Amino acid sequence: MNLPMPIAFLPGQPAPGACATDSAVSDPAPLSGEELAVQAQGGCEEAFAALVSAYAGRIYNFLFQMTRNAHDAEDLAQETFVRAFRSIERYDPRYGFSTWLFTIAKRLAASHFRSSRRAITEEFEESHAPLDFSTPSSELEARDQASSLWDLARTLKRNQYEVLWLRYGESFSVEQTAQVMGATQIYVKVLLHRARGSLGKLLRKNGFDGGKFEL
Amino acid sequence: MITDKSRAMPCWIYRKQLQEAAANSAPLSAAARRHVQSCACCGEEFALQSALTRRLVREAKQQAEEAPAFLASRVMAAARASRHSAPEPAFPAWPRLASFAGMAALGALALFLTLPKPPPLAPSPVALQPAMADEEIGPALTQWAAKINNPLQTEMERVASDARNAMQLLAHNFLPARPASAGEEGSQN
Repeated sequence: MNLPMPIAFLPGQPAPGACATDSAVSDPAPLSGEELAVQAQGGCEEAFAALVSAYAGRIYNFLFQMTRNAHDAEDLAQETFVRAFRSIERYDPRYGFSTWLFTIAKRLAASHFRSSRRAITEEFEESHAPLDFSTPSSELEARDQASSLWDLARTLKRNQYEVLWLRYGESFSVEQTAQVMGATQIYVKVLLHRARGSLGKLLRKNGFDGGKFEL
Repeated sequence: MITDKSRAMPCWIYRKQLQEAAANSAPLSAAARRHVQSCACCGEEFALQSALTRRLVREAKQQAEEAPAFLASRVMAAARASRHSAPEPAFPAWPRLASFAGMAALGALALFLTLPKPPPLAPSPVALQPAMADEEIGPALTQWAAKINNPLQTEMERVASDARNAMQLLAHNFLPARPASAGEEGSQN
């Protein structure tokens, strides 16, 4: 679900101000995100709409995992695509479009946390009740209440959780994860190693040996 | 009895390979696989890390949250509305400002290094002046202002003073002593 996937859209050469797909209907091969982005750079709004349809779910899910709040995730997803739309000329087709889009989303999520100073909101539905990690005692309580591995992962440091989600939740490669995080591959590898180590310790502490987190 | 070379090797040789293979769900080399089979400690750790990776991937799919159905149309409406507004910079402005400031600093430094330096000023003798009374300050200030207003004359006076001092010093050290007793003898006679 994570690599640049073909998108059901008609192919064609990009032309400034017009969608090349209008005249090319004979070849039904779907276009990739990168090809659609090139068409969107030429002014094709339909190509950008196809990109939105293709990536809105992933971007929303990523932002939801970062914020654990449906409203914030919606707003940030909208802002992500608006920024992408306004700066689509700066996209370099040599790189993956999904990486570029996730980079925007990740920066927006980071600035969202800086501005709001909260990772988890109170208005979230009870069924998706987030874990409260605001104090050490609540963090311990949250770890006790964690019912899934990702609940436990959310108790890690923020950048460790982000790198885990990008690598395993979005199935980005180490190189793509480094691009999204704006870091080197070495840094991402080190961060992954530390995150996995911390998660392993938490698993053992939370009953890995026969407990509810038994692998 | 350990017969395989890989079994005899210490665990640290394989540790990095095992960690990377477990983290990336990559296949092990034959030697590493034999080591994992023979070393209980490494085998247990490799199994744990591999299971952790599998479970992270599996549970991430379970965690997935469906986007609202209206999100795409809402996004496109917002994108169309933003078409005529000012374009957002892809990167924050401060790195560009910092680079401009750095280039300006480097240019100023290069200009400073390439400009010819003025000759150093000759040190002027500074005489310590005793504290002046209030009534002396006015004339002193006037004299000082006159010197400042006429630097060439001041410099010439200093040169002449230095020359007089030098002549007096030379005369005192090298000229024969004045026959001062001649006058005294004449007056006595």
